[in-house]
Amino acid sequence: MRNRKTARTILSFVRRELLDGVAEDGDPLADGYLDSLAIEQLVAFLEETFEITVEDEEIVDQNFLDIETLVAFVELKREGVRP
Amino acid sequence: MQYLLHHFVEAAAATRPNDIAVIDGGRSITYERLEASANQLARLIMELGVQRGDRVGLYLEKSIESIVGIYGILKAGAAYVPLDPQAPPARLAYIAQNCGIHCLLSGTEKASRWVDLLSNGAPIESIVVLNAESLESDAPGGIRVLTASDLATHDDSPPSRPTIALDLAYILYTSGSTGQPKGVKLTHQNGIAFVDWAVDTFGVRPEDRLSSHAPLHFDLSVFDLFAAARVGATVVLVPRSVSVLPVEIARFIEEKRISVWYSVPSVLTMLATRGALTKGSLSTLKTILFAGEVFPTKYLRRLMQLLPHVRFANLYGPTETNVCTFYEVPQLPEDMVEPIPIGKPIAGVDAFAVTDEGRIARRGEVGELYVRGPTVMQGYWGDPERSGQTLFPNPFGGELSDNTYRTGDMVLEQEDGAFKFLGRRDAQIKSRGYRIELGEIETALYAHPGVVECAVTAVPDELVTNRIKAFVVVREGVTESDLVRFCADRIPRYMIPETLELRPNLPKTSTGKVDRQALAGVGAGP
Repeated sequence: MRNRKTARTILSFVRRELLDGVAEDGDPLADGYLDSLAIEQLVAFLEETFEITVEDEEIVDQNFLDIETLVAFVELKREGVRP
Repeated sequence: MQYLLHHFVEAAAATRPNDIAVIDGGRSITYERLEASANQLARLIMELGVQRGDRVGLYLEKSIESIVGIYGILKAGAAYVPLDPQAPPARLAYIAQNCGIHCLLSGTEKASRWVDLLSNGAPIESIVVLNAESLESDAPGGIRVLTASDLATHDDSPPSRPTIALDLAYILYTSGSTGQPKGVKLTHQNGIAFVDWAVDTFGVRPEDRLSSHAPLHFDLSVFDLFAAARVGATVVLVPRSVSVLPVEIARFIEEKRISVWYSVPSVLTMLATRGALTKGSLSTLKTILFAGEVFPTKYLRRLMQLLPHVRFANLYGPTETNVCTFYEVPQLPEDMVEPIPIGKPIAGVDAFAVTDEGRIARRGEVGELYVRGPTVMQGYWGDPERSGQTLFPNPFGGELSDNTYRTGDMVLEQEDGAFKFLGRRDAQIKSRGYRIELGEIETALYAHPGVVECAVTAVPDELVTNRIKAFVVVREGVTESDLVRFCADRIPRYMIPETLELRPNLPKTSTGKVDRQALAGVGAGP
């Protein structure tokens, strides 16, 4: 399952790089652990890792609500669909 | 006349009962309902034994209920102590012990943490759950738990309490250099002096909609809540999910027709760079106020160019003084890179720089900023010693011996009379608008049995003012993530070092002290 792998990649980046291992379980997006700067770093990571371009207009609640919506968004972008 | 902070709501409820006081997502509350609910809550907690002058904790996410909580506490003659909902329980338990919180207003979302507060020594005897009619789980042993359904049975007229303007209204805990937070004591008069000035200066009107971005334990919230109530305007709570996504913030301002926005600059920098704004966006916005850290000039200029219809002002003041100086930002020259000034004292407040020799600095001369006036705090809770170090009778006052607060901020008065901020006298730094004592982080690290030596430094950063870096000498087997997890139980997340460097030793100066300058060089390196 590609989605599961994407979720793992994103989660491990968020937990290790952005949260320094503070929130080991749960959904760090849904639980409100990321501040605006962390979101910025997350976007840069997504762009580089998945070779996609994220527009400012796409950094919205609809796509960044939780890990599940974010994975769906990333997968759509990878398929070249503009969500 | 309105002599106490909760009089604002009483007056608004009388003159404009059906106007909206607070908007919280899809919910809202009128001034009439806010007044009635706060009165019922005040009567309920008075029954629980809350006396005039007591401290009552607020431990729930920002919501209509938490605002009702604030006014209920004030109406009971007590002071509210906002507890950071995201802070580690050990830190909150310290605060509860420090100022003696026996009654806690909370929410169901925090119910699972009550046990942690209690096991860490919080002297809580009763908890009122403001956002539920009944409790799903069992109450912790020995604690009386009431819910919103217990409010309804109480009289909704204002209880009579002999509160005076010099009584405490709230205590805000800030980072302390010795490793424990310190509680800044502020009275009704302190809050009102600032709010009245702000309402006058920025022309806040009943039809305004003010954003509430800052958390309640952050002193920016004092403006949002009380300036709105002062004139019977509406305060719109910014949801946490919105507050970190720049495009969502822009959309929020647009959709909620916000006219007055107040936040730390880092949020506005994000709005300027990633908010997808076009010239003239956010047409309802009239005023943007910012405080808490230096706003990088290039981003401030960009935001001002995108929003030419908006008035911008920099408000300056440590929590100990509310706000003490301000600077209305003029059009900024294209080539200007230096930070804008912190400005001139607000009306009725005196601010002056004192040189190292202890005399008042001349214009152009560097000195430490001293502040006196009605916005200055009453000291730190339960700590006369530390209070006395920064708050003392005005040394230049002659017969007048009113209290003067020494900020620790080094400034210089420019030709035009505006003060320029130059830096700190001590190891206090700002990061993302939060005020942080590096010593508090070091204390947290030293509490780990495997830490031999450590030094925490600030690495200047354009976006967030400073990033925190720690250099640590550890015993064998201790890893970086051990230390981060250890810190996470003791200090808020914004204080946890972003980088931890394990080293065999720390560089020393000739006197044997840790050579912070050498470490700063390491931090700034590639």
